[in-house]
Amino acid sequence: MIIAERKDLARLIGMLEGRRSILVAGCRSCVAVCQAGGEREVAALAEALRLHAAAGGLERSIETVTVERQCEKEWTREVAPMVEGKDAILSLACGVGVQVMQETFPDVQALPGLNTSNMGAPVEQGVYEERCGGCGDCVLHLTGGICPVARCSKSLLNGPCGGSQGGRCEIDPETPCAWDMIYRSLLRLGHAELLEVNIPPKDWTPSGHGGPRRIVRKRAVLEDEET
Amino acid sequence: MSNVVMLICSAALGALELAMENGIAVPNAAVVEVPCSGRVDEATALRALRQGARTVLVVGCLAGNCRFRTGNHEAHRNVDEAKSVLRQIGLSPDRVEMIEVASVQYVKLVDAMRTMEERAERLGPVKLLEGDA
Repeated sequence: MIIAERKDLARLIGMLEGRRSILVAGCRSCVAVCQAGGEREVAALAEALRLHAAAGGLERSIETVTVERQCEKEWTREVAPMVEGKDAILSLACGVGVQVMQETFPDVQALPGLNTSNMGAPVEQGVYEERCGGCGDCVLHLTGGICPVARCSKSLLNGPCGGSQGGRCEIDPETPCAWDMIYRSLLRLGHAELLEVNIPPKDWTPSGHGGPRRIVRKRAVLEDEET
Repeated sequence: MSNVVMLICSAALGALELAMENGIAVPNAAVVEVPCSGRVDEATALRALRQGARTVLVVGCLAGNCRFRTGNHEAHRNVDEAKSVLRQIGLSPDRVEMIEVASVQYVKLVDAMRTMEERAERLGPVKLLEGDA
């Protein structure tokens, strides 16, 4: 899932300066799981903004909505009646959601309420760790399910660097060495031989270094007469 | 809206009733019973302030005694978040507070209510730049 964090309240208040009618829009997907932009976070932020407005004598109307998934126009279109007449949409979705909201409602500015960080997973309630580097050429079958791109600080593909000490990364001792984990995982899985498989230098084009990526699932694309 | 709003869990409510039965002068407050203090999120506390309360007191069970096991822990987190929001928007975090009481600790409850009443008097109505730190 996508992990994001809410921007500072002071920053959001600054972003909303001069706006009188605001729609705070959350998302029930990834950002709800990482407790950054779900229904509860939307309610809390809306109350904070309303209190700030009331205490400061500002005339401001704040409405709220939480979209099933802000990355899909099928759902963002449904909130059109609520966007009507608004000065701004404060989106608590990931960067994708903010942009889809802007595409859906090109005449009302969509503002980002979150800082989108990475693709990761919860390791315990409230703690989310990066897991996937989105490189577009997955090698998890060779690394015992541990991603060397996202979880090795240097994204090394063929074993640890000389700084790996006691299973810890030399860049940040709080970070486990990914290659130590890969080694142990492959041993546990009974596939130690995979450590001898050389992973060649990556073509980073599929990872976004060649520009915005576009994937077409031909089987799913509708013909004109079907739309 | 009273100056003090008290959101108190069903189990702790016994302390308020005991105070009244013992003839203690209970400070004036809008009392809202909740099934568990964990039900009170930061939005609720902030809404009470926006709607006219000067201070909000959240009352839950003693640590380890919550009938829902961890509701009072959740309430503490929510109150801390509400305080953080108040600081960030320039209002005093003293406007929101949480205490834990057993149903027999009516003196502790009434003392806390008096404290929030004093804070309500000192801080005055919610207003940016005036009356708040």
